[in-house]
Amino acid sequence: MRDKAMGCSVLAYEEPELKYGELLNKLHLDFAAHSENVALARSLVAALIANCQQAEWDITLSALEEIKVAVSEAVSNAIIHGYQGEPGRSVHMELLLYQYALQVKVCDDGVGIADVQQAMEPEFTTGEEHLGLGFAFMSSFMDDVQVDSQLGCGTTVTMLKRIHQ
Amino acid sequence: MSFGFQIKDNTVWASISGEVDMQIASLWREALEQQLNSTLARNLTFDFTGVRFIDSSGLGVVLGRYKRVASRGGRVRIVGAGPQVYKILQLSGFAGLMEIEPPAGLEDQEAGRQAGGRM
Repeated sequence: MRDKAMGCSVLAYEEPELKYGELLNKLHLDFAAHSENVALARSLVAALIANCQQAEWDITLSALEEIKVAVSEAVSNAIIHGYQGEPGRSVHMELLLYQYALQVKVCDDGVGIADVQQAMEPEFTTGEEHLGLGFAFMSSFMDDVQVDSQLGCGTTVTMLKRIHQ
Repeated sequence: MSFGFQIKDNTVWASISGEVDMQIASLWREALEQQLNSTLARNLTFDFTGVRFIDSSGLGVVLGRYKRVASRGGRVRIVGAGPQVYKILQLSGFAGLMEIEPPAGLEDQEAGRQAGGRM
């Protein structure tokens, strides 16, 4: 099951074409699975939005905070659960800023999730003290959350935040 | 980010500031445990006045300490949370477990939205 030679289709996952207006900006990034990079990921998404000159992206502080929490949860999950805190691994993040939506993709090639449905239940947790709230926050704060995972291959979380006009 | 402790009125006052995420969580958890181990104070109050951001890693530390303190008959409170942090606390269902002081001027938040609180 953990045979990497099987090929990790999780990371090859292609998002169907989105119709959220023009693609304004994008950022692809690989960073070390270190705890300090959770803050880095949050800062980057905030900076991407703050630097956008498009009127639609002049969003409220509250909406920006929601996006930051969702990003923080996805990246923390990759580091804590995906890589089990194992140093030297990398997390891939992809930000696509469209006119009317932001898509955030966070990928790891860690252990994967056996049962995605179960993992997304608010009460579920594999760690002793981790709340299992991570996915609940992602779902509450983003308009769409998709989790693709394969045991031994990794997990990709794709989240979408729409800008309502 | 920084955290500190004070003991008064049978209560451990745990203040923390900055962004409370997985980077600070384990360090803060250890410090809290040490503090709780070395005191007879029964209650625990979290002072979130300086907290700019919290996610489930930070909340996990709060919940873990709640379990410990509540199991010994102590009371847990959270004070000083700003509107964004307060919203997270509400969503996490902590209000059913501990007393959470609502932010001052919560009603001003809507007015702030109109003014466009951009970072």
